[in-house]
Formats: sequence, structure tokens, C-alpha cells
Amino acid sequence: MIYTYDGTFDGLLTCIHQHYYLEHASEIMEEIHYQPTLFEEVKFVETDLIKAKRVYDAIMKQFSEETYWDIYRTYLSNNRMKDTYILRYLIMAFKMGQKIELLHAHHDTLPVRRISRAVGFEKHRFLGLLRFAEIDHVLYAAFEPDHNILILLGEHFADRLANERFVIHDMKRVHAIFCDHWPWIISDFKMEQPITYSDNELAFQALWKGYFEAIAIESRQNLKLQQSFVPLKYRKHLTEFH
Amino acid sequence: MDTQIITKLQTLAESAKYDVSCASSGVDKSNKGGLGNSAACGICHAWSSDGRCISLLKTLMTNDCVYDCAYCINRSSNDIRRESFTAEEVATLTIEFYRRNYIEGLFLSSAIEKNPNYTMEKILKVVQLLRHQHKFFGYIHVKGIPGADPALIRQVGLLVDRMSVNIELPTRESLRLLAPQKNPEKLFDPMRQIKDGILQLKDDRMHFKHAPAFVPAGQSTQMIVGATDDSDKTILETTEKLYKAFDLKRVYFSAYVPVNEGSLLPSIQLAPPKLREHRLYQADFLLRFYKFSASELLGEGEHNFDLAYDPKINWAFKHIEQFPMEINRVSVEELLRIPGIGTTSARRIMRQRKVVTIQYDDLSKMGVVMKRAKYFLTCNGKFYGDKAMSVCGIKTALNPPSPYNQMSLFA
Repeated sequence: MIYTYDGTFDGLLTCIHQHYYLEHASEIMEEIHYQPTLFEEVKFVETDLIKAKRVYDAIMKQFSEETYWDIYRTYLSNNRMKDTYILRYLIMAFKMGQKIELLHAHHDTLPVRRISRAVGFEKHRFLGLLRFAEIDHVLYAAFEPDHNILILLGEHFADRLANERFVIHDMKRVHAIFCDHWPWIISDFKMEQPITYSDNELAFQALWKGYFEAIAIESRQNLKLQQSFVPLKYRKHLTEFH
Repeated sequence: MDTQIITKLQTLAESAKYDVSCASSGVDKSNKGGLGNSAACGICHAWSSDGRCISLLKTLMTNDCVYDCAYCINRSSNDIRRESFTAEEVATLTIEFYRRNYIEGLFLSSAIEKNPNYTMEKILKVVQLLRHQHKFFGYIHVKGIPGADPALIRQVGLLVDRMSVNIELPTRESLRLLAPQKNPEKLFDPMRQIKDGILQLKDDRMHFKHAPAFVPAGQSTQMIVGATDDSDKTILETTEKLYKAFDLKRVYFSAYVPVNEGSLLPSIQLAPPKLREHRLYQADFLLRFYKFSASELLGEGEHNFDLAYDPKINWAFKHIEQFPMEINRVSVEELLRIPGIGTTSARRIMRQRKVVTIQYDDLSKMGVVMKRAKYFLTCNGKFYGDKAMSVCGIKTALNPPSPYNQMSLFA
């Protein structure tokens, strides 16, 4: 049986619940990614907050927080198989108990560990690679990450920019973090008109670009190394590459 | 912002760029009602075209120097553009860059203008402006100026996250040769003071929970590689001493980029010795995270690292009798000595071993570099390296001589 769900984390947890209390799942996937096959039955699972909460509580009770984060980060990834990987990981985890956390290379744990690490890595990257511009006293940053990491960035920037109003906009998934001092919220967001920068903003962008050029040592030039740290896909929104 | 400040920033960044350190790590600090915080892991914000990370706004207060050190681009006898920032200018740049998430904080250094005290006071003024007026909680790294009054250094140390003093050259003789106006003894004074300050704080914290922090991210230093004929052994031994005597967080190496002509210096045509610098960094990591000692890496009669093989595998070649090691049995210290196994993969192996026996196929999934490691380990008693355990055989397997050679036009 293939379970599909609405794409929310609670929906995924509900599927896990159904796997144990209704019928075993062979795969789980987001509804929008499902393509009909001939041989397997499919069922859309309605998100049920109570069932989801029970699975969540079971995870938190039996394992350390790190396991929860491994699962959550995997859920945020763009890997099409992620939900099935989480299912297999949890089946194994509930069997093994806390010892699961010591396993790395097992075929049921490795995908989750790898994907979780990749998502965490991209998040860490964007703590540095996000670029804000001041527009009418609001700091605005646009980015297009591979994984759905927006929610992971909120805490860091809300603390860092506590006295500012800011927006972090994931243009791929058309949603954004809005923060006017503490707390912050995530909401759907689309930029209607193109941005125009003030002279003051442009002056600081020029200063940064000037600095960026000046700080490089010509006789050590190594563009390949630079590209491994800043892949071309991220450069679209980086001030210093324009 | 006028055009003047752009020239200033570019000139002073040009002058500061040979300083290697750019770390923003070592201190976890949240925002207490102002702007900024910092994460212990450090955050890189950009990478310049030389592939080095930009984490901090790295600039000099001024490049107008009274000293005439042979290797330095800012030496007084050089005919370059001289500029100076005001404290307000540096503070504004830092804040505005920080708000836009260009940087993680400030790394402020300076040429010695007039005298050490005058220079240190100017640095102090910037730091005070940032911390008190702008309520800035981001990362600040400043240079401790040798010869400055200890009271000034103390004041700065209470406000910044990291302080560093560059010794630049590993021996007294080299210093005398290339930086005759600097006094090697005085160089270590601020380092000693910072170390004592940090120790004092640890002591104070036992009695008073809120004793003010002093250089919480520790101190670092830097040595130039390739400006003098000091060997890797000298540099590495000095490095080890610095870690032990001054409790440094990092020692940086900087492959000498010839910027000046001079009879005492390598030719300006020469490319910086980047591979040599790389080997020294590898050795530095072996000292800090792998429990190697300098004398193990370069023993009696060895002066420089082999550029063809990394220091760790070279150590393994010299001690081939200790290999292969059984992955399922040896201690973590021994695991860390196997070429191809790093701290992360060693930790994964140790953890998984508690639950199940490790199979050969698991190793690459745990991040072990099998290309090197397979010659130095056994898994459940089986050896997988296709060569017999001979140094020569492993060397050729790892680094086969190229079948094609570029023909020379003039040979």
C-alpha cells in the first residue's frame, strides 16, 4: 500500500501512525508527487493532528532530540524518496530503540543520515550566503535553496537582527519569513513588482563589491576552489557576483 | 557615502589581505538588546576569487607604518597609497555590512602609526564605539600591538572576542634579518598577557559567575612560509611550542606572496609556495585533532615535508610495522592514525561498533577514504589492499607515474 499525504509534517506523521494501526505502508509520498502505477494500491491519508501528535510524542520519548532533527531535516529535503526513507528509518528505530542512534552505515539509516546532513549543510551555508538589502527600512533577502530550509533560518536571524524588521523570501517555494522584532512568522509571499534600491543601499552594495575585489590575492587565484564553496546556482542572489 | 571611502576601503583591504585569519568561531553569544550574535562553529559569508573565505570585514585602521619590515607590503620604504580610517567610518561600515549579512563581524588590524600606544588606542576607540554606542554583539577580532601598554590591551581584551599577535617568522634570527625594528621579546609580551588574562578569568568565574569575559574566543597567530629559509621542522616545532606555551586556538600559515623586491627576499617572480603551506596546515591539524607530536611528523634528519604525500600517510610509511590495524578492535587513538580515517569517520566507527560488527563495505559509507585506507587496515581479519604491505608498492599504487609526459620543445 502506498500512502500519500498533503505535504505537511503532521501529514507525514499521520501516515506513520496509519502504517502501524491501519495497514502497512510500502511507500509514503507527497500527494503532488504521486504518479499512478498499475500494481500498487494507493490511499490518501487525511492529516490528523491527534494521530500525528502521538507519533511525535513516541519519537521524543524514545529517542534523543538529534533523532527527531534527523527526521525533520530529512522531511525538509527535496529528495523524492524522503518519506519512504523516514518510514523505513522509524520502523527500524521503534524496533531497536535508542541504539539506532549509534548506527550509521545500515541501509535503513544511511539515507536519513545523509539527507539530514545535506539539509543541515545547506542551512548552515545560507546563514552566511543570505544577502539582505534595505528597502524602506525593511531588510529583504531573496534566495532559492535546494531544500526547504526557510523554517530553519528563523531563529538565527530573529536573534541576530532583533532590532530590525526583515523578510527572508524563498522564491522557489513562494513563501517567506516575516519578522518585526520578535516573534517571526512564515507565510505565502510573492514579490509583485521589481525592487528598486535607494542610493544609500546602492552605495553599500558598491562598497561591498569593492571590498570583495580588493581582498582577493591575485597570485593565489583559484576559481575552482571558489566555485566549490559558492556553486553557480547560488550566485544569482549574491550581491558580490553582480 | 562619498567615493573617497570606497578608495579608502579598497586600499586598506588590499593592505590587510595578507593576514590569513578569518575565523569567526569559538564563541557562542546571543543578542542582548542590540545587533548581532555569534555561533561557536563560525559562519563564512563569501569566498573571494582565491578561494579563501570571507567571514569578517578584514581591514587596517591605517597602512601608514613607521616600521620597515622587508616582507611587508606596508613597509615605510614602499611607495604606496597611504590611507587612514576614522573610528566612525570603521564602525559604520561594520554595522551596515553586518545588517546586510555580508559579514560575521570585524577583523581590525593596523600598521604602526607613530607608536604602538597610539595605534592600540585607535583600535580601542573603534571597539568601544561598536560595543557601547552601536550595541554590537557580533564577532570582533583585533590585533594586539606589541609594545602597547598592558592596560590598553586589557581594556581591548574585555570587549573583543579574539585577539592575535602575529609573530610572522619562526625564529629570532629570521626576525632580526627581515624585521630589524621589531623586538622579538616584546612580541611575546601581549601573547603572554592575553593567555594570563584568559586563565585569570577561568579562576574568577569559579568565584563570580558574571566576571567579565576576556578574549572569549582565544588568541591566534600567523607565520609566513617561504620568505626565509626556515625549514618545515622549525616552523612546526615553533607551532607546537606556541600551542603549549600560550594556549593558542590557532596558528595560521601564510605562503609568502612576494610583494617587495629585496636582496634578502625570494624573487618577486616566484609563485607563493601553496602546496608547502597546505602540508603545514595538514600537520597542524594532526597536532590539534589527531594527537600527533611535531617530532613524530618530522623526525631526526628530516627538515621538510614530502610534497607528494601528506604528513599522515608519510608517518604511516615510516611506521609500516604498526599496520594493518583491525578496524573492529583498535582504540580510537589508533583509528585516527590510519590514513584515510578522519575524526568524523572515527567517531562513526566507534559508535557503530557498539551495536554491530563493521563490514568492509560500511567503511566508505562512513566517510573513510578507502583509496588510502585499504592498505592500512583489516576488517574482520581480512586485508583488502591488493598490494603486499610494502611502502614502495603502496606509493606507486597511490601515485602512479604518468604514462604520458609532456614533450619539451627544447629537450
